[in-house]
Amino acid sequence: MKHDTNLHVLSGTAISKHFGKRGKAVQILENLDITLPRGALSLVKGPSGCGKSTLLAILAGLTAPDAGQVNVLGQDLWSLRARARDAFRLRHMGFVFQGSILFPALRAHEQIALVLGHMGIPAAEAQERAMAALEDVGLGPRANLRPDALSGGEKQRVAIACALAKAPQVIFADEPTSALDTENAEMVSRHLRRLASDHGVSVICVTHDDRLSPFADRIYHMRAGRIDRIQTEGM
Amino acid sequence: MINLAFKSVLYCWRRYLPVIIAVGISGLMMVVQAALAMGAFSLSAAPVRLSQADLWIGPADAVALDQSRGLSELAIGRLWLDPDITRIEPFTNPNYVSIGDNEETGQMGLVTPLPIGADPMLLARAIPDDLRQKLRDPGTIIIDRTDARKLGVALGDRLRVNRQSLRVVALADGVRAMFGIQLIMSELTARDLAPGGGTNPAFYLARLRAGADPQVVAERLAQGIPQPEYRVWQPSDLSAATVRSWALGSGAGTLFLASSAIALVITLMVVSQTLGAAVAGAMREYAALRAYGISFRAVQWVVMKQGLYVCLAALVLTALASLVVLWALHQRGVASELPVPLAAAVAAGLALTVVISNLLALRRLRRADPASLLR
Repeated sequence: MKHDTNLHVLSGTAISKHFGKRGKAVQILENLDITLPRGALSLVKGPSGCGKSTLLAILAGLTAPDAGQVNVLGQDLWSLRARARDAFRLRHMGFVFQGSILFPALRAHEQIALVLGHMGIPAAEAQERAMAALEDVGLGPRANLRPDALSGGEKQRVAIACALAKAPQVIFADEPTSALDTENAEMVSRHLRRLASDHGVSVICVTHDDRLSPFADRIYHMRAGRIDRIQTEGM
Repeated sequence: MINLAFKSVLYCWRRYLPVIIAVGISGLMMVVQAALAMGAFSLSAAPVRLSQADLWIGPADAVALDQSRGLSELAIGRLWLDPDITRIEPFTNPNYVSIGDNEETGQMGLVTPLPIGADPMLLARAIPDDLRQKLRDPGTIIIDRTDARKLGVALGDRLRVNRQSLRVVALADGVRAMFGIQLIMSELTARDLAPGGGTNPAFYLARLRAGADPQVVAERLAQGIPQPEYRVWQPSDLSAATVRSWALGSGAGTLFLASSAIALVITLMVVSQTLGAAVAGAMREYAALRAYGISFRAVQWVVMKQGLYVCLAALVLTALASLVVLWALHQRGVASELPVPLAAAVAAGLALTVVISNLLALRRLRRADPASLLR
């Protein structure tokens, strides 16, 4: 199923961010504009230190910008109070982190049910949705395993299943394939692609891994705190 | 909802073990210290606990058994007139003597004169009548079994006290003094040993007519006289006041309280470091929860619950280790006592250190930028 990518789910306008104090301050992002279409897998690429991860954190409501606006699903994210921003993230956003972050004590299905439980979903339904999401990423038979019994690729698929089970509208992924071998990187890329095209989720993925490029709808190339060019041709 | 805190403590027990051990050892130290101190302090009230008096009468200004300056028989004249009082027996604060051949290097002894007549009250619970009658012979004494072991004397042996030779005619249990060796003897032997005397008894023990209410009699004795020279005590009140006076008013008590406070502060420092390390070990996972949108309060609750489970495990460890140590001390005849409120206070102190340590560890989580932790 192909979604109308002309509809925008997220837009960032005139975003600026610096780190450090006066005199030693380093400008990371400068007056940056970005728009993410619905149901598309968008990559943000660029050299190390160009501000990719900072941009992702600002768009996800984790790091406050110095200036600019982030609009997600019609909501000005940074005008919300911290607690309301948390609630908004919990309801509408999913995350896939670099080198999956899972609780060592929890089994794969519990990792997902834990987050769903915090969303207020009843235990039985959370369990059902967790199992369905794990089946979806091909981990049904391994749902009862803890992280130490899963491979790096499988852990990343648990993270994707967690994002999927939340049924978010935007998924933020930070270097989701960089620690994986070719086979697992391709599998994770396919799942991210499927989240966008089959589930209509806007996936924004910060990466410098070229193996993800063939699966993307568009690529934002960053340089020195700005979007240098947007690549949509031949995608 | 998945109980993340419980599962984490159970599965990652190695991460939390240093905290459990740190809290457990501190708890054990405090419990043993408290039990030894209370055991020693309770010895100060042993004459009250081991006697069978219904009331104790001491000077109006005395706040503990060992803080009496004496009370003349004249001052308690009214007691003889009370219809419910059937017997009155004097209690004299022990005289100090030297045990051993050399007076300067000998051990300190405390002379406790014991009435030998019929139906005595003083130390009646510890020295039954058949043992007491053995003191009728001049120059005979009864000592505590543990003290006898310490002195290396057995039943029938002789002991040099103030250059006199006294024969041990019986060994009793629980009649130890807080400092020194308690030598229980007849009033006659005591007079021979430390002549002079002439001091007023410190307290008087009173026996009431069967069925008389000690509370009513005590209130009656306190009424009618504008400023009585005496004060009437229920045995339990006098015992508690004497222990309290040692625990809170003496140098030994202050030392105990100060060392307990130091132990708590050291525990807090060690536990906050170890618990901080345990929380820091899971910081990325907590940051991930925050990124998902789970509130700081919810994450805080998870960490607090982990602290609670760790604290419970540590308290169980403390309780088990304390039981073993206190049992071993008891077997060796060391005086130890741990009242429930004191044990509860130690447990509360330990729980408080874990809570404070947790709050310190959470401060790091609150300050941390989730985005930076996720990289």
